[in-house]
Amino acid sequence: MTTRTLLLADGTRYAGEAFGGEAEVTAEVVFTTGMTGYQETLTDQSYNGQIVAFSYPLIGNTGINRDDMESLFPTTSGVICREIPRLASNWRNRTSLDAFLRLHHIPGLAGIDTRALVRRLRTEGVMKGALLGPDADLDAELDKLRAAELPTDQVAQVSTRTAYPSPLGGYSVVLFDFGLKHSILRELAKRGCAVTVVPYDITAERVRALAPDGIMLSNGPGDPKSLNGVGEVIAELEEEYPVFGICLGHQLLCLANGADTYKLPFGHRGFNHPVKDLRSGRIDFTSQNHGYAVDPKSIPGTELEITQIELNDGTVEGIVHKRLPAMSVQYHPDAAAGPHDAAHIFDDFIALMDAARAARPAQRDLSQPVLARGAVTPALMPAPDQSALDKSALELSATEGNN
Amino acid sequence: MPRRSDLHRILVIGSGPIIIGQAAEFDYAGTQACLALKEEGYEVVLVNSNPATIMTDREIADRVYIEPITLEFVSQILRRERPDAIVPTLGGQTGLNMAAQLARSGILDELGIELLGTGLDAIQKAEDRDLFKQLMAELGQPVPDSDIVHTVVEAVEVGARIGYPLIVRPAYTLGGTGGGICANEAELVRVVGKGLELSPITECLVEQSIAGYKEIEYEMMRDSADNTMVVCNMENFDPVGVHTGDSIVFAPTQTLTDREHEMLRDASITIVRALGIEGGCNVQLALDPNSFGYYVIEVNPRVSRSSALASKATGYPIAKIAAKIAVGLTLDEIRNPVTGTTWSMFEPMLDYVVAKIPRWPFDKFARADRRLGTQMKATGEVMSIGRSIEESLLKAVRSLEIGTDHIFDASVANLPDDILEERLLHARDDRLFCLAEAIRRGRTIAELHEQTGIDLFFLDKIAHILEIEDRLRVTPGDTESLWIAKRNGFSDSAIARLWGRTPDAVRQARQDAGFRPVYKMVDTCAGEFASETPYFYSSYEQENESVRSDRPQHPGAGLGADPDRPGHRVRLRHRALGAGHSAGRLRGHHHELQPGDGLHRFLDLRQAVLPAAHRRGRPGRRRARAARGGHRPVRRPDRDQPGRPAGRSRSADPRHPAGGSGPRRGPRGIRGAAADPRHSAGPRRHGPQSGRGPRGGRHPRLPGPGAPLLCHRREGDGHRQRPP
Repeated sequence: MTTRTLLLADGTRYAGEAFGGEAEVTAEVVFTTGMTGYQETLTDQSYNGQIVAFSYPLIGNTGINRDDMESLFPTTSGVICREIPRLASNWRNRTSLDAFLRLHHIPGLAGIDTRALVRRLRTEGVMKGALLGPDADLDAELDKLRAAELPTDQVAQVSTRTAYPSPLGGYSVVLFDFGLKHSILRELAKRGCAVTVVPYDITAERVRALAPDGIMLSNGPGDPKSLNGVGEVIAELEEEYPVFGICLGHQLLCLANGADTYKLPFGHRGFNHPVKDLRSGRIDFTSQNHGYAVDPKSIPGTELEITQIELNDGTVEGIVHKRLPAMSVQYHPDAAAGPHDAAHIFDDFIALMDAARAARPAQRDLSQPVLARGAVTPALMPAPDQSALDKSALELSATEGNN
Repeated sequence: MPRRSDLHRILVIGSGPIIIGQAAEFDYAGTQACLALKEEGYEVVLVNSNPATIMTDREIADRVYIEPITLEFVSQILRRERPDAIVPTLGGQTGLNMAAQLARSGILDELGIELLGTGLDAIQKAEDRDLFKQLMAELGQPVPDSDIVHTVVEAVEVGARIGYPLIVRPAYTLGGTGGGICANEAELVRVVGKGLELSPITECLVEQSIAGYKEIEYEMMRDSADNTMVVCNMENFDPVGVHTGDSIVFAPTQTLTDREHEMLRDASITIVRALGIEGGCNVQLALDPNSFGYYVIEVNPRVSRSSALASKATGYPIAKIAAKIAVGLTLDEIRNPVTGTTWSMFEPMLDYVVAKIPRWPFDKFARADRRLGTQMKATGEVMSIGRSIEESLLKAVRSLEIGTDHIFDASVANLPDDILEERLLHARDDRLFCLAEAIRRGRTIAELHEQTGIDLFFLDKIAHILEIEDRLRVTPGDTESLWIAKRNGFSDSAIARLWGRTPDAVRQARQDAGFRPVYKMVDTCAGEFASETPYFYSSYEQENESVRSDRPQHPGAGLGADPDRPGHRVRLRHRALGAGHSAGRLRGHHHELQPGDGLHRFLDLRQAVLPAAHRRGRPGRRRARAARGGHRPVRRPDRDQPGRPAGRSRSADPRHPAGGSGPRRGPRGIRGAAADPRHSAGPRRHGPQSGRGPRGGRHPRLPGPGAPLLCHRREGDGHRQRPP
């Protein structure tokens, strides 16, 4: 058994057993209270650049399977739990959590008093921490840790570099990738959406070239204010298309409309956050993972209206635009992991797109699915005839190859 | 919605005498309900015939009638008290049946009395076999297929339609006699032929077998505004085939991925909403261990035994909240009493593992059939909390009071191989000990999984405990081994045996090494919010959360009575409770108690401690009969063989069981339990030894059927009740 130590920026040390990858990492330490869904959590790109501590003591019981990934390659910095099992048991299990983390060079720490760590983070707020090997000089490392500047370009790290389409459907949705979870793609596909995933720094002009029915802003890691230029693009596009934001996308939509965001002391990470819709009174349990939130005091004076709040601490969980078909939620209606209670929010987005189509019926033949293409081969507007569509599909694959 | 102001006086129907197949859960639920209603400012009238419960103490209700729970007596009380409403869903089946009778008799309409909580029609839908099947079909929720047959030919047709294996349950036979699992048509012809012969009405239920599926439970809450939530989910150690009341249970689920959990959660929510539950509800599901396939086994549309367990496992007071929902409050209007800062519309998150082990009465009924099946035989249960499966399991074993402090049973250790094998195949109350013994004798967990259907994950935990045993044996005195053993829940005395030393020596070694337990809080939210309620469990960790009280009272600690068993009953708890209640609040520690029990509420949640113990309980004596938890430490006649668990050696010959329908009897009849008592999976509360009257000669006499006795007892009266 190798030892490994978590060193927090306040000087606290937690020594336990090492598992997973070998790397020594410095990152923000956060905790999540979810009792299931560690695989989805670890592959959620919103945890990019974070060491995730699980409050539930037994992590890894069902191993790792092929279907429950939320991204292709996990970018979580580190994993902390009380215990990983000697034997994982589930019919879909393919490999152990330990082996999976080794494969992706993510260090893990087990055997520490995770509840003590959670209580510290709750009372002191999330803070920088380092996972260090047995030979580390902890005093020297503490100085280094305190001086360390954590990266602020997490979205650039996790966003797709080129646009790519997912299979055809009746609605054309442009999905901004700030670190998207695959569950968003699943929910859109379920509702008949042809999705074009685009890089976070795409221009409004290129989005327009895709002639979308609607625009989605994905979840993602980090501080929304560190993303320069995205706000302007959103502000421009929301005047033309229905917009739906989730998590970081929600914060960016609010920033684009003049609201402000702030950092929560220890964030919301877990699957049991009750969210109340102020219009209907309905309460859904939601999956959440955010360290920043929209400041409710900044909403008056904007064109936004708060529609949903977290029942326990009253944080802003959803807004709508009073003039435009734009809305966003702070939580993950796509769940995975987490309860499916709020999946109906996606239906609201479909309804917004239907309404927008009804208002602009003349622009093109709406019965024909629109092939996503413009981001890589701009121009080609307005919608061409079928032969041109087929041709452009070929061009698309050729161009993708060149990228 | 705010609480209803048009109601003033509310009648609560208790559950009467406690019988085999219960664990005092209705006593707990009803008491909580009375307190919750009083807290909301209602005048509470209680009727219950059981004098041995805290529920019939003066502090719990405003007016108490100790009367038989029959139509005649309750009608009289209704005419006299003229309550505005009745809460029937918190007194178990007794309360529900009584409410249904009252409704049928017309007296509720006559007096304008309303039934609160989940409606009778919803209850009927959940409990009537056919209505339930129909509702599940409408909701697209799968239930095991079944049909009633009267001839062998019919049975063969049903078999061809449903597919094998099948379970046959002859109607009206005692303990499921004549039934069994059939793997093919030839077996079906044989079993049904015999079953029809044995059944006095020549009828059998033929049901699809889902034995071997994982048995998963969801404890749900719903209010009148359709807010629906999961309080807790639980996974049975034993697969479908052993009644959940007779199975070791862990909370939360251990071997389910989030996708499986959310699928079953969605199903539970759909069912609870469709039924229109207002209050608590328990949904039991069977999950295929090799696919996403599942079946709904059963829905209990009321507070039940597992609600009590879920309450204590999470800290979420289900019965109390259910009572408040009944008077119109919604979940987002009720504060979470544990945190004090959050609302009751909150799905608790655990950061520990809960183990429940049933307590069976076989030490008192030496000739009873100890094999477990579709009919619950346990009379109580113990729950424990730890930071790992190993720790919570071993702590629960120690709480059982069956003469062992570890998963080692001398009588099992002496069994010949063939009998041990037999016991692995046919689950008995000592299954856990048999599994451990089999692994000690070299059986692999893969083989045991094949044989028993128990998930490898759980079997590996037992194997892990045994590996720690091996390590201890070869490293006497080693500090690291000691730490590993303590972290995994080993008792000092078990370590002492493995080391060949005395428990005191182990304790000394532990103290020298600085290994002391810390106390962790059960706060419903896994540490996410600061909590006010001092409800603790011990573990070998770093941080201690229980701070010493600085209040000026004398320190003292209350001890409970531990698991219920015949000849013991709730009166011990009553005394402890009454004492704790009147002593007010002090701080102390308490853990590992029976979950279905009001004592927890007082000793854990309110940390009552009683100065009375000092006056009467010989202060300073190390193993004092402290508090009033009964004669727990006192040597009992059934314990006169040291080191030998009481009653274990007097078991009935397993080869000649008195009843039972054969190995692993499969699921209980899906609706059979409540709706169709003709079938052997009959009402679970009517266990083989069930009876309605007070047991034994120790009960204070019940009042005769004369004029209603208005029982305004003086404060402290209950405390004078002592066992003769």
